[in-house]
Amino acid sequence: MIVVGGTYEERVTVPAHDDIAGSGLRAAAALRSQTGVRLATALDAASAPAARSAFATLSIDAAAIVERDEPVGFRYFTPVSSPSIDGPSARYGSVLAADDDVALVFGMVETGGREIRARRVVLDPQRPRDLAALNLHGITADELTVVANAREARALAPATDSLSAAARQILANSGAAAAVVKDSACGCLVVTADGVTVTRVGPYPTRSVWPLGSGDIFAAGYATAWANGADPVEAARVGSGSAAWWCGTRVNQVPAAILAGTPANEVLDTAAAELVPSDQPPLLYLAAPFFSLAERWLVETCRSVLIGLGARVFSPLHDVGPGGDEVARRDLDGLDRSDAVLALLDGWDPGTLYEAGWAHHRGIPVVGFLQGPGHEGTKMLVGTGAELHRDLSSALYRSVWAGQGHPLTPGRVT
Amino acid sequence: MSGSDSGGLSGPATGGSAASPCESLRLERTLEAPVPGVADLLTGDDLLQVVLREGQPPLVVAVDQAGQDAGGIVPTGQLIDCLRRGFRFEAEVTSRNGGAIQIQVRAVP
Repeated sequence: MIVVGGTYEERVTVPAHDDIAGSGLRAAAALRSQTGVRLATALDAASAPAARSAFATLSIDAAAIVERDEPVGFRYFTPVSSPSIDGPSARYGSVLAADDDVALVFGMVETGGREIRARRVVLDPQRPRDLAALNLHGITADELTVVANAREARALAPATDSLSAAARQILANSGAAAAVVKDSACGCLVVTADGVTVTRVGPYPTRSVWPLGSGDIFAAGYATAWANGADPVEAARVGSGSAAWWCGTRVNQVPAAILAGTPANEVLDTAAAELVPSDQPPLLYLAAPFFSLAERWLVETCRSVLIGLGARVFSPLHDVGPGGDEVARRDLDGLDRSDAVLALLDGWDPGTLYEAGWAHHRGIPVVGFLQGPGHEGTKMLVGTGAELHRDLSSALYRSVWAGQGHPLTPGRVT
Repeated sequence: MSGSDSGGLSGPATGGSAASPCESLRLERTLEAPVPGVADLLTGDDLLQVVLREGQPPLVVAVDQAGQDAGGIVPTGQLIDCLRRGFRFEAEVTSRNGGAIQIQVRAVP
């Protein structure tokens, strides 16, 4: 297999993270247990020494490297934030050529020519914004699978009203054998050649979640399984398990057993069995103070991310609004309808704690986000079943999974 | 202090009171290609020396207290630059996760 994709610097502000990655490098590293995996990518003079060092350290066969004219990097405030991109106008001069039985092709920031020939191609557009059409230029394949995330799928099929419809349209427009839409915390949708049957494959919930790059690892797992004869649904299940491994460990080499189809929870003890998604998106109650700019920013961020993860959100700030004593009953009415609560606990706001206690009384699971130091108050929360996280990404994903029925593990996760 | 990643860094010989980007560099990493018989003996809080091996390409290696290679470290350009400037780095074993050894790379105070 040849992996065609970018090698980029990735930086996160909170939690601090600085690495050489990019879709191409990450996917090639993920598949190190497989024989014959090669990487085709682009490097510039400034980035090349560290990147080549990474290739050597990770035993990546960088079979084709073209020269780009400037460094490219992604900077995130948090792992769930949209990135700012350094070097968005980067170009490479030579044609990026790849020829193999199977090719995993990621969209790249850099522009330039490509000539990719393979019996089977998995194409992941990997474009965070401004995606209008699938770029099949320079790709020759007998069979194609398109693997896109939900945002990309909506961009590729803007007139559709559901992810299923978007997947069908992508399939029809591309002539692919299968289209897979990654729906983050809700797993993925698979549409195969008949264009009718839509199968949802669930996620394997992990105790902690590092989401950056999980889509790359999913595509790597999918491509490997598909190359080895799995049908698209089986391959998507391998992709989901591979992504769970990465999210739960941050170890980029996916175990051969997972790539061969062993469920992730049988390999990784902090992963649960595949969560069978419900047709109805979970309703999350966002319990939080919103009195300062910082608190308000966090509420806005969490609400936006939860919606992006496939949940519906009841936010007292957005759905009831600030007010006097009269808002309390309306807030609690919303809470009673919710499937799970995400409580933003820093500051120990009395209203937020009241809502967490109310949720417990009603049997609604509570996930807490708490960065501050240990507090006596955590006893009551953890002692009544709440799961507290210092990591924002983990708290967000866990709350969505709790809303879909995944049982929480009471405790404090650092 | 220029704040630049290159060209403006003060080396260790120049002293100075403010922490340079090299002194504040922290990287969370997995110990890559762990060496059998060396890496398996590592436990939490063990300290490894971080060594730059020049070549094409340059490699960054974690070495145990007995001087044995324990495994490789995926570098950044800044880490390679800081090691070339003479800053010393160490790697602390922070956890074992999914059979992998997690380390934190940081400058030696």
